[in-house]
Amino acid sequence: MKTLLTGVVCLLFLLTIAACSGNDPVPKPTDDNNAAANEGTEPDKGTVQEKVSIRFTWWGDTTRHEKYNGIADRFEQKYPNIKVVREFGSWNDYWDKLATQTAGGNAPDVVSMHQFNVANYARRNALLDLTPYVQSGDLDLSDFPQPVTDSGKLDEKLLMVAKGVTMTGWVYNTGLLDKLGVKYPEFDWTWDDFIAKAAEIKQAFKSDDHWGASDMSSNLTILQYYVRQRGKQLFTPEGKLGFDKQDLVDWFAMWDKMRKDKIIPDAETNAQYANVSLEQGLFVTQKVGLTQIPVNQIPNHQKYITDGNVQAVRMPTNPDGQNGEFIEGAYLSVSAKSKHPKEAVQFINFFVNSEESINIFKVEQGALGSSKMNEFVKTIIDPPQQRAVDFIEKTLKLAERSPLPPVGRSQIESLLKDTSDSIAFGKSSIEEASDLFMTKARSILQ
Amino acid sequence: MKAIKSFWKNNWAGYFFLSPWLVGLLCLSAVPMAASLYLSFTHYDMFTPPKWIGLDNYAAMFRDEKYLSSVKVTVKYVLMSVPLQLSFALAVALLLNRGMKGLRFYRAVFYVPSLFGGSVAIGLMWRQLFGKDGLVNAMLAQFGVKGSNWIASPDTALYTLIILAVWQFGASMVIFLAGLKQIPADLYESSKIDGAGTIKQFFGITLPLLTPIIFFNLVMQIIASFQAFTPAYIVSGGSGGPLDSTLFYTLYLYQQGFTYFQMGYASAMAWVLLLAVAMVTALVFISSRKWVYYEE
Repeated sequence: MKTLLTGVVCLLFLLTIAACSGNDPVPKPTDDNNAAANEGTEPDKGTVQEKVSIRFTWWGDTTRHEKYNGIADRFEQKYPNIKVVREFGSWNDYWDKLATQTAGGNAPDVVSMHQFNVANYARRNALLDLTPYVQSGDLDLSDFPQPVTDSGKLDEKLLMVAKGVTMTGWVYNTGLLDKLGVKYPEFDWTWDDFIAKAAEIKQAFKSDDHWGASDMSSNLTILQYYVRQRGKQLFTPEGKLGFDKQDLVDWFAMWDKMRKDKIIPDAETNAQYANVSLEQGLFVTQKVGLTQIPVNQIPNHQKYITDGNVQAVRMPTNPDGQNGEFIEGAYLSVSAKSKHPKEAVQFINFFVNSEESINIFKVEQGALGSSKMNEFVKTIIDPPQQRAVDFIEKTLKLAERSPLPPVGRSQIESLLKDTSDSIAFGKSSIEEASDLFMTKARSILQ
Repeated sequence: MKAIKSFWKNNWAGYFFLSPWLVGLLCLSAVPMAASLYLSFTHYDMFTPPKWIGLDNYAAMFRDEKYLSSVKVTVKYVLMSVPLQLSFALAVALLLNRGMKGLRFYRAVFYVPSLFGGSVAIGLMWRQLFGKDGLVNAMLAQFGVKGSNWIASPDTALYTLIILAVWQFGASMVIFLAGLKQIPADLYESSKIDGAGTIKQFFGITLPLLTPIIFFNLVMQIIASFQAFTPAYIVSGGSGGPLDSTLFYTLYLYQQGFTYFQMGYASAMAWVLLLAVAMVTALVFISSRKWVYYEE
């Protein structure tokens, strides 16, 4: 009896140590993957292949989760020796979790990556350079146009592979504009045209709580277009601020005038709608006529709009300036600490290059990286998806690769939001607020 | 050596039964706290190893405007929500203590908000209630008042969160109710004979005899309010906006740690919060000698 109890105490002690060490890399398997989570214990009898499991993680909504689960299932069918353990969450949760996992040395093998955040990981050496795998042929990028491949590079290291390439544009709902009797905007238009069109829509609404366009003064992506059109950059390749105070003053002045003319929503309305889901947003509920989105989201918006088509036009241009277009997209990376980099690369290769995968993926996150797969996908997509792809193809010709943002990007994004809010709520003048932005941004990026 | 041996022999069973709690204390509290104390003296971005920078994190707080504004918001929240919530809880407890029918039912109903008041669902509901087209404005419209956009205006957003805190008065109320039942009825009877009215009774008997309970509730509520996070996170969508008006201390701490990867700074903030709460609690304890009345 006594020995038994001593045994139990010892066991408990061991458990304590195990629990405290907290370095338990075995993730919880998701619903349909309960079988054989243990890696490497049961070698296949017939073949010499070792059974391995890799972890794949992504952000998105329920539709995307279904799609990605389907792709992982097909991959497992094709490569029975590899098991794909899935983890996913919404955009915000995803990045919080990934940061924590990476810090704990427990990052998933295949990581969904985004331009906005890649610097956080790349500049801290958390991502694997995939160049050797391209050279060995494990990762086939021969059908990828060079600019698309290059958009995943930092310091000549290939850190991510595009699963979808997208561009930002302004969208309108043909049903709403027809109803209001407003002519559709032209594909090529200037900022002045944009303001005039938004004013026209506002007038046609004849209502206090309907507006011509969304307020995008706090949107870093659009600001990036704006300064690029002036031949500048948001961030220099060295990670410093690439524009001047005057650019920012002009930017805020443009939006402020629209706000005072009631062409765009007031500050309070903006704050109220800042974090609502897509189907509750100002555009889908038809409270604004024009809004800005990455165009791969046209189908997501179309899903909730039944009285017309969601159509995209190019970002307004600066008649005296240059094209602002730059490539955006969603990517796949392998974490530097992955124990199975070869299998992880195999998965990425399957994801971006196989018809089995594209059949499910379609254009979920934009036009595909591979031109060959783009030809294939055109045969299976519906009209809203087709419109997104057409838009991307059209604007991609105007686009350039933009330097990957620095580590402090998310802080700069919050700072722009704070600055824009303080102007919109009338707490500070455009001049003061822009001054403060420049000072603070410089200290963030030092 | 022998003493240690006999200590274990005599006490191991006790420690065995304590072990679940001990494991929790060590793994979930003591170790992380020690780690965060160390990290608070480092620059740590979660990816590269922490770099010792001494007191720089602590010094940086005083230059960080956003930090200072989060302190202001939090202090305002604590100063307003705690007294309001406690008075409200006491008022309802007094009402329920008048020997009414269905006391148990009302007690349960009033207690419910404090069970899930801190949840995400309630945060979302609050957004709806106090939104521009929300229920509150619909009710105000009945009286011909045009309500503003409570949640989205920097002048009023914090007050909606204070109302949310006051609404969760149930836990304090139940404790007050138990305290009220402890007050001997003969005190009221004899005072009545001496000609004391209800108000005099309240200030002469109820309140003094209730001070230990008030003290307990006060300490608990102050600690809880300093740590409030979920409502602000949900109502502002994680931003603390509009214009940082709902940027609670804990929310800013979270942003620093998980959005900006400034884990060292976030750890330093956490320790300052701990010290501040400890100091405020200590002050309340010291002051309690003056105003808390214990019956022998």
